[in-house]
Amino acid sequence: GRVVDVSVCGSSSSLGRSLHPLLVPLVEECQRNDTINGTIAVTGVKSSKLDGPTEGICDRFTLAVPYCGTHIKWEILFDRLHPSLPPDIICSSEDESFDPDLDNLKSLAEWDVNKPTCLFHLVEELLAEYRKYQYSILSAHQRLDFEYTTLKENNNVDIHCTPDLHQPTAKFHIPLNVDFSIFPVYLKKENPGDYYAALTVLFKTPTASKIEASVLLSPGLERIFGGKETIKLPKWNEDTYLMDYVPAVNKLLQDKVDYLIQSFVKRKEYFASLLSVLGQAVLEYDTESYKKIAFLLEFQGFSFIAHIKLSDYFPKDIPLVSISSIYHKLDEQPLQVNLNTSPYNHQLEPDENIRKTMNYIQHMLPQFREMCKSNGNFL
Amino acid sequence: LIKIKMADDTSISSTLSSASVLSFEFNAQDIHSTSPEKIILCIDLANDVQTTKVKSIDKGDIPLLTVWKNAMELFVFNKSQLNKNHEFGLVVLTDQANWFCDFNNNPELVCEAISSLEAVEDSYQSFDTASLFSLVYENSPPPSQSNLQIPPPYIVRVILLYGRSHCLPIYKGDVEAHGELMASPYFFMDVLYSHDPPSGHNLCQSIFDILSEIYPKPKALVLDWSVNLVKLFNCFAKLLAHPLQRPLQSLMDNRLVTS
Repeated sequence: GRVVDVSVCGSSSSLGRSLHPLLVPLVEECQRNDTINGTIAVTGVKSSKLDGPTEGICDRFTLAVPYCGTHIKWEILFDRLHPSLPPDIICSSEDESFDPDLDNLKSLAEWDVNKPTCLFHLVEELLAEYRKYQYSILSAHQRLDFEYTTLKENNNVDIHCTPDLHQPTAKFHIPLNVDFSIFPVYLKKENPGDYYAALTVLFKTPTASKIEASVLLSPGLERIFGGKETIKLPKWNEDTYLMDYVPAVNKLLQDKVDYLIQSFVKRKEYFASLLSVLGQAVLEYDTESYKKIAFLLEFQGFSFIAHIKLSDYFPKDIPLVSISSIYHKLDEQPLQVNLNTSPYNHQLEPDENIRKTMNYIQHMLPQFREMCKSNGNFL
Repeated sequence: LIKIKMADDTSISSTLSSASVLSFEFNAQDIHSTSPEKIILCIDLANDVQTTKVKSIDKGDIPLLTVWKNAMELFVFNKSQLNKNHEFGLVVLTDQANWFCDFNNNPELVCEAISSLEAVEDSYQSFDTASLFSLVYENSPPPSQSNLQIPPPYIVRVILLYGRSHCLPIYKGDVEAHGELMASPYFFMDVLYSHDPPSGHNLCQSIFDILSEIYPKPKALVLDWSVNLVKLFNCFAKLLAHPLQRPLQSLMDNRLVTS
């Protein structure tokens, strides 16, 4: 059987109740199928019957079809009195000159309301016609035509032109081909959802002298990277072409992903080194993200806890070391001090760095003890 | 002189080998997964914890319970910092074990409960250790082994703070709870025995012998204390170590390593 999203389908959902029963499987298939670079949303469900209850006899609705990073809205009009007939379609007023060749809409000719995929196929065909329509506007400009044709060879590209005579702009939307599946488990757990990235390029002039480029990230991905601003896109010159620019952006993002994974691996290695030097003093460490580890240490009769924290960007970010007292409180909590300038050199071997850190802690201990004595509460 | 005795007697370990499914061999480089702990602090409130004194240089003689409470608060905050998901429950010991405060991962709330503890006026003839196992098994059983997840969703650790110098812990009664807990690889028990200096007038050595076998597994942490203030705080700090990740007691070494 087919997999159906229970939250929106089924006779118990409001959509299932409102629509004419013959139309329900057609609409459900549109909502379920995500092979067109996103999912279709169904809104504005109404009935051609103007008065009285409309439950079970709604025959018109709007489909928001994903395209070019946004949605095209098409109003679909069935007739509740003849529900097996194919629908009429009203396009948005922005696309006044969009006039698809009906001969290319084979699903209209072969319409069979008992086939759940017929409406979806119609949407696919309309989308293909819409693409041709957008291309017909774009191809009037040689440079933009070249960009589109060369890009299309290796990428999925959506284009959208605003046919403004004075300031025509062309938007290119290119989903990026980055492997996000390799993220470590803890990152995926902390940032659930789909990971999706796309490049949007807005050509302000048909000669491509001026563009606006930005990266679109799904919410989970944005959190992982620490915000869109952390992505510094390459510079665009007049002699830059998308067929080179897009692979460069792909690499930029893939490198960021790879760095996060490398950091995870390096953190685990650093923990293994810490344990081989100080394992007999270990208290606890986190084995999901390998960011926190703590040891109980003693020097000249004074015991204390050494916390070591690593970030998502270790070793670019150096380890943070802090010391907690096991005797003294400050404001009802254990007295704790961050050692902000602990030594770390990524060119050294891990155990060399560890010994340097231990020497540094030993060096800072008298100060820490003094701080505990003067500022801390003991008993 | 009391020596800290490690329960590494192979004859005891082998009878429990079928129960200890996880390997606890400690190799310094090995990384062992961690789980949140449900820590049950079992605090002795017999009059001994008021009469036994801790000697300090500048604060004179302090009742044992006062120092315990102080050190426990530091323990709870420090442990919570290691993992926010650790939870703490409180049990008080009279002639038997009694639940005092339900599990909570908020260190401030746990410390409020700890600060309200007071010693009772009675000394007891014996302490019923079976009641402790029954209480723990009823209220906080370790997770079942059916999926054998590594790491488990949580582990249960009892920290027994026994403070009597004249009262033997005696096992009376219910075998089932004890058996179930001992068979679980996700149940642990540490002991901190605090007492007067051992002498011919008290039972400290015998009590220690019983307590060091109460959880006869290699992973046990058995700490013995009397008299010295700083050493009592050190004992509580040692208890911070996570049972799934810490070395065996005999291998623990906290000396700061420098080049």
